[in-house]
Amino acid sequence: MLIDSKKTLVIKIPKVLSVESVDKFHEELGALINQGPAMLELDCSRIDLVTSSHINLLWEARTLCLERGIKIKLCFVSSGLIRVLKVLDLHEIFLGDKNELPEDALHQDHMEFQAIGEFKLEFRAEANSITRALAEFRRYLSKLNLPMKGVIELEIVFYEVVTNIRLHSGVSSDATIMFNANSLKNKIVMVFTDQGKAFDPTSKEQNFDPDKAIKEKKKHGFGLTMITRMTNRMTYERRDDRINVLTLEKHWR
Amino acid sequence: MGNKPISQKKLNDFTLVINPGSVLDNNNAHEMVEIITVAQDKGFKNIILDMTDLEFISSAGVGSILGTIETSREAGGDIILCNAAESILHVLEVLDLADYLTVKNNLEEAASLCS
Repeated sequence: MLIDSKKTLVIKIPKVLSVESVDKFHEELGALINQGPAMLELDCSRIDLVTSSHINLLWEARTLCLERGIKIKLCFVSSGLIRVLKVLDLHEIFLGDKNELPEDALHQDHMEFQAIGEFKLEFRAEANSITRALAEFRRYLSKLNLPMKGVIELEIVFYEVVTNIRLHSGVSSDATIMFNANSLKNKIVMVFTDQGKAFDPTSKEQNFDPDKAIKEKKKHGFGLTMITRMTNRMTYERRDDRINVLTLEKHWR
Repeated sequence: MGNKPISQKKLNDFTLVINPGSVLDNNNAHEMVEIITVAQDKGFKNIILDMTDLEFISSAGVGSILGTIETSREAGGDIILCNAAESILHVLEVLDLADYLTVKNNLEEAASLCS
């Protein structure tokens, strides 16, 4: 913790967010806030890999400060963090005018190694909720500057997976589907979690024959084929005999 | 993305033009199948799917088309897709459907097959 003459206090955001480091951060933050500074600077220099937990921590700090009438400012902000804040529409809130940042704020560039955007959703296994969730996911994708075909495929994969959960996993419409997407340099990783009955899509053979499907007037059962063809890697895990975790990766060249 | 509903208009005694709207997914694929099936039962051997407004198609949407094509072909007609956006065509390509579907650039070209 540093204190300067203008009653601006500085706190470092931990590099790794473990239970211990977050507890310590909260403790230190509380102590700083109790000193009643005019400004609290959140030093982001230790953040190598931006995660949603970092963003949550920034948000918590901001909320606590605003409640006490304390201004906040981020310093030593990497371009990776800036990009994540932009993806989440939080850059105006945290960064305001970019020119107000310290000169060295934009100098660090770890983009090749950093996550550029983590995205989380929790929604009900119900058609309207799924539609809204898809709209949110679409909004997230639109900010990642991905190729159009890739975006379309990701939207479809998302829709097909959650629709399969809704229609075939036996969950009620009140059940929660959890979704997490993490966009890295060359790929996006999507994790779907639900508590429906076990279903391992990786064990299903994919032998879609268009000619046969048309001749047989087949109207259903193409979803898994689309998911498989539109992603590069699929893994499935059944946890504690009650939780399905489906992880899908889509790679970029 | 809006939610423009499915609409239809008669082109001639044997041809019905159907606009699937902006989204063709699990929520309306069954409606699409019903509209096509009713039209086929009424003697419209040709169905033109004018995809001008279509922005999103799911597997159920694709299924609503695939599952009804053969009936039209058995009657000597076809289901013809037109005005499809690149994103929609891409979905069809992923499923290797290019060789099995009749796709035209616009309504005029599609209608020329239905005279």
